[in-house]
Amino acid sequence: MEKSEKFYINKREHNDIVILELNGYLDAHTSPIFEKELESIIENKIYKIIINFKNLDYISSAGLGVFMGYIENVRNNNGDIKLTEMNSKVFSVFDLLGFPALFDIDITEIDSIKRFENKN
Amino acid sequence: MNFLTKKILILSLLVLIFVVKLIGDIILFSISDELLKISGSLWNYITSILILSFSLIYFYIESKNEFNIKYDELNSFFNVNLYQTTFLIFISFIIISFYNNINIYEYIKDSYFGLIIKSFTFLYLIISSIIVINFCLKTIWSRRKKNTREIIVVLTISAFIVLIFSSIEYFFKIEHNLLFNISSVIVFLFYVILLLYLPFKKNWISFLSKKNKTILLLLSLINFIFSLSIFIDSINVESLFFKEFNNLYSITSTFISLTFAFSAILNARLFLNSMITYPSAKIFERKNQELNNLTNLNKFISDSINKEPEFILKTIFNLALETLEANGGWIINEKKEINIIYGINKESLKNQIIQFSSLFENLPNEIQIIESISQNSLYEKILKDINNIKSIITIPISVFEKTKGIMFIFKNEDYGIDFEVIKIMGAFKENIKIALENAHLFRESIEKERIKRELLLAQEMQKKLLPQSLPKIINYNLSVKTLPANEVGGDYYDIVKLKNGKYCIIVGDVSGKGISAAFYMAQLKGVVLAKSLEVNTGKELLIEINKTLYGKIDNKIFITLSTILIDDDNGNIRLCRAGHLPAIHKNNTKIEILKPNGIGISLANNSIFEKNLEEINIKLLENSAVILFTDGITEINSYNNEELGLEPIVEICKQSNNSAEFVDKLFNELYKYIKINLNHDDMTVFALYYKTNLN
Repeated sequence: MEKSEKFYINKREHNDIVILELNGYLDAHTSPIFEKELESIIENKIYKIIINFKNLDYISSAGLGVFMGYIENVRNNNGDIKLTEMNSKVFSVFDLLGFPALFDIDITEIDSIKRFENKN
Repeated sequence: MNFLTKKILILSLLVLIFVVKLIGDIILFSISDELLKISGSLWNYITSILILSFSLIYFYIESKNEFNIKYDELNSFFNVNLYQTTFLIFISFIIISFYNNINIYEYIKDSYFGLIIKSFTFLYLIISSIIVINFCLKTIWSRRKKNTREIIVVLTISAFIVLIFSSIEYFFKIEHNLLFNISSVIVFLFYVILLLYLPFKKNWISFLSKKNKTILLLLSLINFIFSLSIFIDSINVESLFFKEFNNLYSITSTFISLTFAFSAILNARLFLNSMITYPSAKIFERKNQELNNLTNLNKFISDSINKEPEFILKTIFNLALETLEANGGWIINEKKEINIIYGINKESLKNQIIQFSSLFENLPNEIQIIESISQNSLYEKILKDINNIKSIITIPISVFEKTKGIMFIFKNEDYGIDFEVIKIMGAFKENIKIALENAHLFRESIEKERIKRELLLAQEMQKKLLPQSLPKIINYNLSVKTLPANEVGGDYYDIVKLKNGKYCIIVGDVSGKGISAAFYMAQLKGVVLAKSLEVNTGKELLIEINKTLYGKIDNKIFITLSTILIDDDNGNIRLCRAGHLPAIHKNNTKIEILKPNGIGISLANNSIFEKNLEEINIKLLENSAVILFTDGITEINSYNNEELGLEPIVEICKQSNNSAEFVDKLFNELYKYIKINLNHDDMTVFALYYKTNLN
């Protein structure tokens, strides 16, 4: 059974922050969906982005690659992509690659929001 | 005795007998008819039988090797010999008519000169009739049916019986015996009836071209008329010719009768059959031509597999024009271009043609026939300047269910294209599809072959980027195995000597698999080669690699690496991990999973990378081991469709006492799962055991 199963995104807003809830499986087949979403958000000049992983069951290296693709641009515009509410399996994938040293990974969404607000 | 010798022998004997007979006849003539009439009759009979027999034998030998003619030669053979036969029959008829002319008859009747002339002409008649019978038999035999052979045998027998009757009549002078006469007539009638019934194939007559059919019609009629005349003359007791003939050649005239009866009846049958099928000659010819065209088309289809589509279309287009006997046409492709056109030579008319063609774009994928352009005012309007297009047929060209264009073929006359051509044009349409599709598939497969060869070459090249053998290091037992998912992969392993001469093991993984991962792997190898002689530890090496590659590779690609530096001979090693999977450390029965801190290569700049890169020291005890591997192993699906995970590797490690044993056991286990996994990632395992007693 291929892990290319369903993937969809719920988008929310909190003030000037966009929160993307990822659902399902994020891999090489479904990452283009995620990419397109980030692309359009950045095109609309929104640079405060929180990714909520609570409903994400699986992520592969292709999925991780999406983050690396946009983080530089976002940070150059004084924004950031913050990651939150990962389950342990998903977290271990990020952890293995050393992402905690590169991204803010928080346990709850509130924490991520607070980080944005504190910065201001 | 070979063939030629036989022929010459018989011919010489024939000539000999003829000369002897001539001399004998002259002697008999000069002596007196009354005196030697009886012996004269016997002499007559014997010599004529001999001449007849030898002539028959000669032609029998001659035709023996010709009797079974191959079908293809049939028609050409037939026409040549038909002329020959007609000519011979005609000359015979002329000769007989001459003789039957009273004036000429008187002139040659009683003279030596006359005798000599008569001898030669009678011989000619005998030879001609043998040639005629030969022709008749050949014609029938080469077109024989089931019972033909048997009937011919019976015919021959009845001919012999007639000859015997004739001989009896000659010797015993039975001229007015009713029973005898009736019997001989009955046998002869039987012969004639058999000839009328004699079965042979006649459909070949229908398949003759109109020209050949006309020739057959005329010649068979001529043959029939003259053969009949000769036959009637031969049974006419008042015939001047045959009276003289019988004086020299006795019963041979019976043979002549039989022959020309055969010829008359056969030619009558041929004439009637050609006459019956004559009106449909043109249609038959057309159908035959269509069939030939289809055959050519099919042959072309199989020959065209390696040809360009344009060439295929052009050839089939020309074939279609020929088949329909059309005046011109064009093919318009999906891009509305016309590259193939015939019968219209003005560039300026192309716009009208394109306009006209677009009327048929959205019609169902079927052949359309427009019998007369003038019936449709729209068509007429568009094509008004092109006054030689009166009727059109459109044939859609579709390849792999997609319409690639339309073929238009036109004629100069209204109603010039019959609806019945739809069937054969349907065959053309199918064949175009098949030819184009086959050519496409062929090109694709050639390309695939080429790519496959390239990949295999790439595989060879990549294998050379990995160490061909592992160095023997005192007290350390090393073993490694790698299995790319495809021909080439993104896994990397190496063992390099650093600046201080120490060995450093490297295991790494480029994200993804296949060609793109392989390219990065090659690049990585280059960096490792360059930097390994500048550094003293695995950590330094990783830092240099990150420095070199940061910002230089696609930021969506990850490279993860682990290094083991062999510090000394006593089991001291150092482990470093840049984003790679943790290492397994086996210490007797205890298993530890080692996960020093570290970020993947080129994700972070130099200072962040270095700050987060942890190097841990390990002291290996006897029979301890450290295992490095890539995620292709842990992520393969096992029987319950779950990922394999670390456990199996750990178990096998516990059970193995040296690295080769471990690697073999692990892969034996993995092969079971590879069989049931459609896709798996590149797999690598590198095992390092500390064993002091192996040397």
